[in-house]
Amino acid sequence: MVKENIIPIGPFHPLLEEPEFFKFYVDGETVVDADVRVGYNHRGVEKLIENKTYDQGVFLVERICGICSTSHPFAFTQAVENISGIEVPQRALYIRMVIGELERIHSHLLWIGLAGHFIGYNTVFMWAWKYREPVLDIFEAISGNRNHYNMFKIGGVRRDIKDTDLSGLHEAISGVEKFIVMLYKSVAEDPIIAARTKNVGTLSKQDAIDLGVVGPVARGSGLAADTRKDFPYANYREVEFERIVLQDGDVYSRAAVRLLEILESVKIIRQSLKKLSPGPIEVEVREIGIGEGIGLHEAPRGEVIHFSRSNGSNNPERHKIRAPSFMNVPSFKKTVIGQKISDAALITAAVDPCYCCTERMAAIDAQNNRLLLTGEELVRLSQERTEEIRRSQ
Amino acid sequence: MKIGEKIKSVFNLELEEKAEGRFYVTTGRDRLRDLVGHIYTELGGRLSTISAIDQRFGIELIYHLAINQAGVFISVRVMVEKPDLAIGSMIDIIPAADWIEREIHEMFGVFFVGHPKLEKLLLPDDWPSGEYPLRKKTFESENELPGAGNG
Amino acid sequence: MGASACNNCDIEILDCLTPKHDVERFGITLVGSPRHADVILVAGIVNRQSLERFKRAYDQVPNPKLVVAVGVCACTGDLFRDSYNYVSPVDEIIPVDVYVPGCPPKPEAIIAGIIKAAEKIK
Repeated sequence: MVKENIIPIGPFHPLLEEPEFFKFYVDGETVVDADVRVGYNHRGVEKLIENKTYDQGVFLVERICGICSTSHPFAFTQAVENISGIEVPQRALYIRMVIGELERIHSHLLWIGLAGHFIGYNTVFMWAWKYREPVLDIFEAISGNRNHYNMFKIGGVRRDIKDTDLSGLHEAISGVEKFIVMLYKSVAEDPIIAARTKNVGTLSKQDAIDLGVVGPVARGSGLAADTRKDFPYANYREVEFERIVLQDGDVYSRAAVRLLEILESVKIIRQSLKKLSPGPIEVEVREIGIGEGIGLHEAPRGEVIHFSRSNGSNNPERHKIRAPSFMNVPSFKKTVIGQKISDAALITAAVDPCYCCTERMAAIDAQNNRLLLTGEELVRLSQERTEEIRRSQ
Repeated sequence: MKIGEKIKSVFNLELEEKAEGRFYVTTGRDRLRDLVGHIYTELGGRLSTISAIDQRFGIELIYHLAINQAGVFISVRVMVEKPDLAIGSMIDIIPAADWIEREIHEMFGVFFVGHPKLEKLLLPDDWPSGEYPLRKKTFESENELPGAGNG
Repeated sequence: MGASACNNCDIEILDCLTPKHDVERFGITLVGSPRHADVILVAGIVNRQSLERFKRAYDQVPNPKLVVAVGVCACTGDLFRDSYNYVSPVDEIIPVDVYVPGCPPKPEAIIAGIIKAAEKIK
C-alpha cells in the first residue's frame, strides 16, 4: 500500500512564518519577555448573533470552542432566560449539570494528555485520551454527536437522558474516576513531575487578583472563586461537592486542581442522576421580553459570562460573550518571564488556553529578534528536560 | 443588603436588586472611576467584563463586577456620549481591564483615557481604521446623511 | 492546517492517532514537516488575519499534493459565512479534492476521507 503522510496539527500551522500567538523572547536560557497575539480565531460571533434568532444563537455560540462547546450555550441560555425570568424545569436543570460536568471531565482529560505529552510522558497522553473516549461515546448516545452536542435550548434541554443511557454513563465516569485516582497518586509521588512542575510558572495570589483570572488558574493560586458555589445556577445548590483550592500557584497546583476537580464532577453527575425525576425537559417560550440578562457558568477553564439585551424581537439587540481564557491568557506573561525556555511550553499549557492555541508558540532571540525555536521544538525541549532530570536522579 | 447600604453611604446612589445578589446601578462618566475603583479595592469586587451597546447618541457601557465571597454581582451602567467617546481607563487600578478595554475600543471606538496601549486585539492589522464592527450600521448611515443632527 | 477554528475538527483529527482509531494501520503516518506530506487536512475557516500565511503554507507543500477539507467550516464556511472577518470558502483559495462534512466529522469519516484522497494519488 502506498505510504501516505499527513501534516499533523501540532508542529505545522499556516502561521509558521511568523509563529505568533505565544512568543517568548529569550536571552540564553531565560525568558526575558513574552507576548501573545490573539485574533487568529476571531470569527465575529457577537456581530453574527445580532442577525440570528435566539435559537440560532444557541447553535452558533456552541461552535465558539470545540472543547468546552457546551459552556457557551449554558451561559447563553441562562442570560436570555434571565431577561424574562424564564424558569427551566427541574429535570432539565439536572440534565444541564450532567452535560456540563461531563464536559469538564473530557476537557480536563484532554488537558492532562496534553500536559503529559509536553512533559514527555506519552503514556499519560494515550491513557488520558483513552478514558476520554467513553465520555465522548456517552455524549454521542445522549445527543447524537461526540462534540457539539446541541443539548441546550432556551427554556430547557433539547434531548432527554434515557434510562438506557444510564449504565453506560455510570460505567464511563467510574472508569475515569479509577484512572484519576491512580494518576493522582503517581503524580503526587513522582519526583520527576515534581521537579518539572513545582515552583515552576508561579502566579502569585496578588497577581491572580490583579489580572482577574478565573477557574483552575485562580483556584491554583489560592483564589477560592467557583461560579457553581458563589453564584449557584441550575441545581448546583442541591448537590454536594468540594471547592478545590490550592495555594502555591505553580504548574503543579493547577494540574492538581484539574485532576481533583474531575473527581468532584463525578460526584455531581452521580447525585444529579439520582435526583432525576420524571417531568418535562423544557418549558415553552413564546417570546423574550424587553430587558437584559446575565448568564454565568463555571466552564472547565473558569467563569464564562454572557450579557444579553433584548428589544422584544426575535433577534438579540446585543449579546456580549466573555470566555474564561480571555482573562487567563494574559497571565501567562507573568508566569513565564524569568523562567527557563525549556519550561515555557509547560507553563503556557498550564494556563489551558485551548488546544490549538497552546501549540502555536515560538522562542525568539531577545537581542536580534531571530526565530530560535518553533512550537514543536519547544515541546521537544520540554521533553528533553524531563530526560535530563531522569538521568540525574 | 449590606453592599447596597455601603455604596449608598459613600456615593449616595441607589442600587437596584433585580434578583437575589444581582445589583444594577447607574452613574455618570465623571464618577465611574471612583465607583468601580471603590467596588474593586474596598469591596473585593473582580472585574468580570465590560459590555457595550451602541445606543445611537452614545455607547452604553456596563461594568460587571463579581464579589465571589459575598455571592454578589454588581453591574455599573454609564453612558458615554457621542461624539466625544472617551472615558477614564481603569487599568491603573484594575490591571485586568487591559484587554477588556482594548476590545471595546476596536469594536465600538470608545477611547479609554490613560490606557497605555489601545491597539487592536482581535481584529486583523489591515482592518480599516474608523470602522467599528459592533456599532449599529443604521445609526452610522443616519449620521452620514447631510443635515443629520443639525436640525 | 488549521486556520480559524473551534478546534473540534483538529481534536478529532488528533483522535485518529489514538489506539481506538489507530490511523497508522492504514499506512498513514504523521510527519513533522510539510515538505514530507502528500495529503493536507484543512479545518476551520480562513479569516483575514490568516489568509496570506494560509496560502504560503499551501505553497510550501511539494507536488503532488491533495487537500481534504475536514468539517463544514472548511467545506462551505458554515455559520461563519456572513462574518465580517470571513474571506471565502477554502476551495476558492486552494483546490480541494475531498470534502468531509460534519461538525465535527467523526474520526472514522476523516480516515475514510484521507483514504479517498490517497486513492486519487494512485
